[in-house]
Amino acid sequence: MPAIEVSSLTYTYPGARAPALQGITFQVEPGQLIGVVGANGAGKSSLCLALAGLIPALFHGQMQGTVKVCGLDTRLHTPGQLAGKIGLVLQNPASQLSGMRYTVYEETAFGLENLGVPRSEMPARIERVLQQVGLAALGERSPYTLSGGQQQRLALASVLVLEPAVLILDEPTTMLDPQGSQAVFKIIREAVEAGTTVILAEHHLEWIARYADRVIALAGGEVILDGLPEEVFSSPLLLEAGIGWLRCTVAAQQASPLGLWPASMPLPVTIDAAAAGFSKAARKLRDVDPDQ
Amino acid sequence: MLIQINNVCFSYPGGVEALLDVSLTVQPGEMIALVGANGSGKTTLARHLIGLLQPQAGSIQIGDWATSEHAPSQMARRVAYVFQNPDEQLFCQRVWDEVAFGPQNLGCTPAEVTSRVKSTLEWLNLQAEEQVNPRDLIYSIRKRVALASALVMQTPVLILDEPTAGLDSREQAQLSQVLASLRLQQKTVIVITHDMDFAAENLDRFIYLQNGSVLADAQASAFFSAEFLSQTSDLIAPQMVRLSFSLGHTQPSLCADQLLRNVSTG
Repeated sequence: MPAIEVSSLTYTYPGARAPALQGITFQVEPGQLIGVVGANGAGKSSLCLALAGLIPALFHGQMQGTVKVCGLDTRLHTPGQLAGKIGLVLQNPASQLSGMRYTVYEETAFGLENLGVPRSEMPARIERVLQQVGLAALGERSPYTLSGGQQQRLALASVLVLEPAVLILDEPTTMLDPQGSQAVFKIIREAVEAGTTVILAEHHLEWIARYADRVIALAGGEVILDGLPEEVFSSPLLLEAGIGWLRCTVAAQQASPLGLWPASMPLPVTIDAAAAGFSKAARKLRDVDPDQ
Repeated sequence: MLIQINNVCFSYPGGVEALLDVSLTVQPGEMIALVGANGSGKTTLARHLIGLLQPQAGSIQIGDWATSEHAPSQMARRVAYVFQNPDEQLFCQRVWDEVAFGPQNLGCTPAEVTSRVKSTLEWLNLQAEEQVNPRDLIYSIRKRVALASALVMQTPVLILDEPTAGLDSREQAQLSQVLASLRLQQKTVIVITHDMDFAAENLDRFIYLQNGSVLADAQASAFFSAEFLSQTSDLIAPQMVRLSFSLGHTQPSLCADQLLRNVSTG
């Protein structure tokens, strides 16, 4: 059974003239990390909310088509029923804090309490996840005294602790420094290796190119590309959609007409692939012109 | 306008030492990247420059004004600050009012306010949003409104805190254009950022804070030298710099054009 099945999903927010999502269809097998890219306003956050069942349950509006996560139709189940299977980390961590718990530790326990997890199981799960996200030393702090980056880790911890089958992350590292981001992407990748299915909406294409198994690109609420990172990230459609390319892809494309990028090689989406292509072209130039 | 930061120390209540004997001189018209890990003191330093925080030791001069002798409302004539999170900065019901608020408080005439707001909204392509409530705009446009409300102040010094966070590639290109015109206007611009790719392409001098101290202060090509990068573990160099070192170049390339020049000359 696919972890996620979206079929002909079209959704319009209440009062909006145009749909935020249009005719979206895709399936995801369990244990994959899917990167979702798109310009601002392309529908990334709306797709995240729809996958978590918050669209349409909380946002109302008009929805056509179906979204099934772990076989559960999101329209036939309440967000509470889906919460045991689907974890959602919002873009703004402050909007995710319960506001009902005084410490980081208690905040992390909040979801477990609501899912009715036996009390005896809680401490080990909470401590493990706080350790994982680097907040173990801050367990007794109020969530509201944390920095933006720390709150972002807490939001992730409070969802990871539920061990959801499907994890949906909407730009989870906007407030983190590069080391913090790298640490979070490693945690996410570990969850994927352990069988979790992850949907990751993100502007930072380099992280997606490195960690995602597959990329879905959105523009104007529609899927414009769906494929491997190396296929999607070198498509001209990405430029038209305002998503852009990685710097190394841009450099190789500019190098191509100058003979500095091998015609036989696809445009690179990683630094390693770019280095290999530029080196190959340089060797060829030296062979043709021994004076070089 | 010359900025002089002399031996500044600052600790937050509770004892966290945020700045430890920081001294820096910034010449008028410099384009600076202020970088370092979360908690290294970047934002604390920026808040000192606008007079929101006062040094517990040392002093700060913006031109001939010491920040200790001028209220934040006065400092706003010389230094404008754009918060990382626009929601901490925006409070008016309409974009127009938000952008007009600063010049009104500077005592500009109504005609001057109108002219400044109009030209700033045009500059940032926000004319269509001028009557909209900022809260009804998406995050990246709210961020642009926050930038507008700083640019409209026409200060000689501008501080931008994580201006690229949450922006897509087209919006980042627009921000590059804004920085290029600030450069032409010879404004002093200090950008707090984790986005090394953007910083390398748009800014000249890198000041690197670690645990409240200045660990490095150099022009971009020296800052991203192999020698310095090998000594720092918490810095991820821009893509073009990493690519140029992968190719065995001795000098880092800061942008694609520079990389291609270095590749073509072998």
